[in-house]
Amino acid sequence: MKSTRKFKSIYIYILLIGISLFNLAASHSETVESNQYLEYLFVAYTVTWLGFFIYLFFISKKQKELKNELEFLSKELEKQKEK
Amino acid sequence: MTVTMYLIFIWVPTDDVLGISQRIFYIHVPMGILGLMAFPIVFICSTTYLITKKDTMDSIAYSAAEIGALFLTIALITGMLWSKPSWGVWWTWSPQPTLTLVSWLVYIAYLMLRAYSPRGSQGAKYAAVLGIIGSVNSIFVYLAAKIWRDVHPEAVVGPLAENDSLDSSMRIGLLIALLAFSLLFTYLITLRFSTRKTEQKIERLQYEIN
Repeated sequence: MKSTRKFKSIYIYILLIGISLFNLAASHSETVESNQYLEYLFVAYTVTWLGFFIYLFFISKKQKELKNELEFLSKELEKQKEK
Repeated sequence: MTVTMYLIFIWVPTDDVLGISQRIFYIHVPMGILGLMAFPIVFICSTTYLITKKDTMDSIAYSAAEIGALFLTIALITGMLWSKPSWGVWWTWSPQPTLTLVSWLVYIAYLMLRAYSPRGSQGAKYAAVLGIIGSVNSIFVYLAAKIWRDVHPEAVVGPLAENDSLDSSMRIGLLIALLAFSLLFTYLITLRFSTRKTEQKIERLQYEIN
């Protein structure tokens, strides 16, 4: 639960930085021509960060599931030993 | 990462010819390099696994292959997104992107072999052999732009890079981006490795119970 909250705050943090820097970059570019392919730049960075977020999301989900399974199996093993 | 993003979007100059789309370069190149850097890890760990049969080596190789596949997927997508405004096409069968695609397919084959082979089978061994053979291709990806000169730019980092191939501020931006993504790469491999260790622990417990 704690790790999920940690990941959420990282996602929001990176997202906010990304959006603000992207806006700054768009306003920073000197000419209209240089902004011509801005959509490609936007999609490239969006795909990159989305890729990492989705991967981290699945890993954190998997870790949570594995932790629960490990606890269950440890209890099962203890029960077997008691018998 | 914040510093890297600042450098990429604000600090580095906009390319005169390619315009703002050239900034894709600062993620495309590190993703490609790190995606291929996973191959030497897979090679070393797979070889060690085949010799020593240590599960830890297999787990590191598996984790590196998975993260390598993620980085190479992003490298291929960002490459296509940069190719369209630069060359007018989404994909070109130039040697370097083609060999990168082959490397990506090797990773996918490796991961599929691991996912579909039953527990305790020869899957780990076969995957290790595939990882070793696939690693050879990564050397050709780096050499491709030098050997077969094509539309794809030459190497900008490493021993084959020419000193004047990049503006100094662009070079600094690239190196800092490479450093930041290397840290992310290491973190993700460590994270995946710890998950893999837990999976193995569960497998052992299941075996003990049954």
